[in-house]
Amino acid sequence: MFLEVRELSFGYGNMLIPSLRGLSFGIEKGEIVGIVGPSGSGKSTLLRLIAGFERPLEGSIVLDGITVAAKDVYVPPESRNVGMVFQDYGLFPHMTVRKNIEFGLRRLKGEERAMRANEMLAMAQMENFPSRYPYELSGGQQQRVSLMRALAPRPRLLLLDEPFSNLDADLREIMCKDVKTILEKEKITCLFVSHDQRDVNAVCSRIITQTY
Amino acid sequence: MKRSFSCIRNPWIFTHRLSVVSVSLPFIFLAIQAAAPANENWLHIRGWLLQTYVLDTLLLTLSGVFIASMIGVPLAWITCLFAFPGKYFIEWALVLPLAIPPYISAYIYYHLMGYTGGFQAGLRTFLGLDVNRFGFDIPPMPFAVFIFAVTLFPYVYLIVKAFLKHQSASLYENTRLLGRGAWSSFFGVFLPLMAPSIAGGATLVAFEILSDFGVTSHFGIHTFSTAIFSAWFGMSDADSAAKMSVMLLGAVFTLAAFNKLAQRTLKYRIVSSKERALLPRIPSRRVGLACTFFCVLVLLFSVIIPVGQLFSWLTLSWNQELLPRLWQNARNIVSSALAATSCTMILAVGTVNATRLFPSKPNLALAQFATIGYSVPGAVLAMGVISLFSFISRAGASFGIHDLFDISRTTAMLIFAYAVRFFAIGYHAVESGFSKVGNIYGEAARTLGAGPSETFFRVEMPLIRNAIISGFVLVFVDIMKELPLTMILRPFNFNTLGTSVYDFAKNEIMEEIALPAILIIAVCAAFIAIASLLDKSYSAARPEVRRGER
Ligand SMILES: Nc1ncnc2c1ncn2[C@@H]1O[C@H](COP(=O)(O)OP(=O)(O)OP(=O)(O)O)[C@@H](O)[C@H]1O
Ligand SMILES: [Mg+2]
Repeated sequence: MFLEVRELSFGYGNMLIPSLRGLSFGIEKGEIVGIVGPSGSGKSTLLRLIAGFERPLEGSIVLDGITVAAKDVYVPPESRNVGMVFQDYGLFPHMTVRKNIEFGLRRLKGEERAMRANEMLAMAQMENFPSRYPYELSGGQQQRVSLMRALAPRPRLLLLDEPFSNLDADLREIMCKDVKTILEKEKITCLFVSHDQRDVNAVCSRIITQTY
Repeated sequence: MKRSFSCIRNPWIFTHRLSVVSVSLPFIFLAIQAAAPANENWLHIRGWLLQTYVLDTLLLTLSGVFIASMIGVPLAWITCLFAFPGKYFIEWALVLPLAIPPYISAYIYYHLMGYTGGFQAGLRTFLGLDVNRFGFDIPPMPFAVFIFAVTLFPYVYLIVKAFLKHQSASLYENTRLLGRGAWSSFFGVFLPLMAPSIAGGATLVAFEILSDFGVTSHFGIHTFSTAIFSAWFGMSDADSAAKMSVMLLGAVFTLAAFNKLAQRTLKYRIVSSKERALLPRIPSRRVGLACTFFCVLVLLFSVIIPVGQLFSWLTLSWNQELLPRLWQNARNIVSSALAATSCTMILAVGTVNATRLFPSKPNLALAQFATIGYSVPGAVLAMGVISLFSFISRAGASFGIHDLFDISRTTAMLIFAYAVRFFAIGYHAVESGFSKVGNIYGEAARTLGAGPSETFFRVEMPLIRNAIISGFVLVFVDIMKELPLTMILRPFNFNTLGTSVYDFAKNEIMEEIALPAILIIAVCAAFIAIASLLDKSYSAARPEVRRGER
């Protein structure tokens, strides 16, 4: 198993009802797995736990053979090498498209960094607007840039949290195809959250259904 | 990596702890000093004077708060509801009173109402009336209330206005549709809704009045703050001063607790931003003119008369020879204000970011605690700081370090005290900046491999830059206006613009207060203008930031 989630439990603050209770599953390397479930069932919460923004109450998360979260173990998000695309994209508003993409590449040397950034820009079909700011982009363009920004540092695992929810139906279909192509080309292991069964069917090879 | 381990070595947590410790130390030492056995002086104070202090303080604070709210609430109401003639300029000008410290207004009005002042002179010239002959004397209490009302109403006005701006138009429209008139919808629907924000503004006004030294001492009103001053300066009785400080502190904390309670109800009334905001409408001619008249009247008393009088004094007293002293005093206050403001903002930014990185209950509660300095009257904080620093210097001496610092010569005490007192302003500015920006950019940066500090400096700080600058500006302005802390804690022979105004007024050399007073007001006004511009440009940038978020 590449990603292994064991008996994971979590609740926000001192809430009586935990958001996740004893969740277990595994993902093989290179798989693209969809997670569907009703609103409030804890899909986003699961991704936040895997990314390292929250610490589980119980259970553990093992990534590529390394325990990243368990009792007394906590690897902070920046050391997990997990990429994430947010529902609201989270593109840095004060940085250009290129700077956004280069943000995760600071370990590379100047030339390598520029090359990787160019590659990503091309895949996002944004090679003509590297110096635009996020607010100058359409929803679909922002979407692609944020996906490419997450992929640029070659994460071990990519988390997508409802990446298409702000797009209209036509664009969604196109984006689903694009994303699938890119993910397969880059051989990325991916966890894809959506409450839209069609999106998940279009992108994923396997589906986990989450309930309350 | 274990969390408890990273906490101790984390620079953000370190700053957080430093703020908390800095704020608590003066109060701990104050409490120790206050616990000293009662001396003769204290017995006298308790037996004969304490009752007056309590009554005068209560009367002054309650009436000041009441009148300031009577000005501030209607102003907020009419500027939000009506587009009356001159509104654009008036709304802008109504912030200006914040640049005028109450004590400066007090000296000016005291002079104006006195025998040689414009008021009596006018009566004599135009009506042949010499009120002085009828034993006219300026009644101190109503007069002080008037001064506090015209200088402090902006706190109520601004907070209530900010609340109303976020109410939806349909609330007002519905009350009207349901058959309520304008008055009835104000008293029946909006006043109860506004209550928490009125309480918020009123609490700030009360803190200012309780902290005041300049106005009350000039009019000979015996409040706790002036009593602490006279115990300390008049009788060098630190123990009694500390005892009274602790009592005043109790009153202030009770007030703060009531305010917290009032604010709690606010939570349930947040209107979603999708609704139409309450936009001003064009009123009937009569109503419009009445609004304009009211606003101009308020501006007349709070800004135009005081500033006009200062400039007329300036023409009388203008003299090149005054300038070197003025520059020296200005340099003193500007350099200590810059030092203190920088410390304050560094602590504030560090503390807020620590609570975001490690949002545990104790961390949040401690950060909240660190903001109490703002509610503590200047004289009280000064007593605490003196106790703390004299302990440190005694401790230094007992370890053989005799010139650790000389309490009568160092500005360290003053800068420390400013930072403790105004930490809250910086903290809230930074916090509101962060809450506008949200967590998403920080989290995105973390998944891209940036650690907490890199995330802050490369991503979050640029985004909250305006909030940091406006916090800086507001802290700086408050230090420029500050008097009680400066009076007690300044080193020997260290004069600031504020203390020189105080000294001139005390010696009744009224013309000479013009130059330093105008300088204080000009600097504060300019900085307040910068802060409000930043706020505007910030909200103007919002649509872009928001689209970036989408
Ligand atoms: N910051 C938070 N504080 C407290 N409770 C939260 C917080 N975020 C989410 N929750 C609660 O945790 C539960 C799971 O939320 P989560 O956002 O993971 O659901 P979701 O499956 O992603 O829903 P959606 O499809 O609407 O995005 C919900 O009941 C929600 O109310
Ligand atoms: Mg979600």
